[in-house]
Amino acid sequence: MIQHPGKTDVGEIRDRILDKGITVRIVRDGNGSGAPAPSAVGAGELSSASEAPALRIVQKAFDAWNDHDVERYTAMLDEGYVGETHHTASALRGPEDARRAMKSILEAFPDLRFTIESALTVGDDVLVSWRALPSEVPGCTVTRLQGRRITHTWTYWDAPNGFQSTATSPR
Amino acid sequence: MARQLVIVAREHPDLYFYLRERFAGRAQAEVLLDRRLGQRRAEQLPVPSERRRQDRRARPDIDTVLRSRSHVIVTLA
Repeated sequence: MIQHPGKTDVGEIRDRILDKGITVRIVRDGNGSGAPAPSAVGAGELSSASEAPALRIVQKAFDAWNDHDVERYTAMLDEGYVGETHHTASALRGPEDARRAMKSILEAFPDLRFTIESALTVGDDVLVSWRALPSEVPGCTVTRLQGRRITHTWTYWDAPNGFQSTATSPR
Repeated sequence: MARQLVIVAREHPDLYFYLRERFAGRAQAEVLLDRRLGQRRAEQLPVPSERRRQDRRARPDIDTVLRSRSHVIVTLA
């Protein structure tokens, strides 16, 4: 959270952040240590009260991934779900497609986990910044919700080879 | 309501363009490309030592994060 009392003009604040400098505290983890936090994110700290339910739903989706619970994850998906990954030409379409993909990924990377580092909720869209373990490769996912169902995800890996990078042990 | 910025490192233009389009017209969030480092690198402008010290002091967290990942989310109080 930026500590900048008395200033309300976002454009000015933005310019000060980018060009002139301003005291900034970035919400990265729950304990301020700089180490990856558990998947739970302080929703109220990151989003307004009305947007917290959306973030909680997305957190549950990540929890299902971290528990390697394919059924729990796919149950959260809308029938019209579309899953896209940057640099990947084909999209996942529907919960069954997602189920097969998740099983395949978890078989290939049995130690895969995601730690959520920060999040942003805008209406029905939730941007989650994460770090994949054990490689600690960072990335993010934008999830769109309709009600309590996930209708679309777009995932971006900071490393160009995506999931393959998770096979690398942390440094 | 708190406003939030997503600052994307220059090395990740695809992410920047995607997020900018995805959050277009949303008052709560703004997506920005980290232009300070890009301008500095591109133009190779001499920077007065006093200003340089001030910049480094002012946003070390953002710089640190953007060296190790594609983006950072900043909440404006």
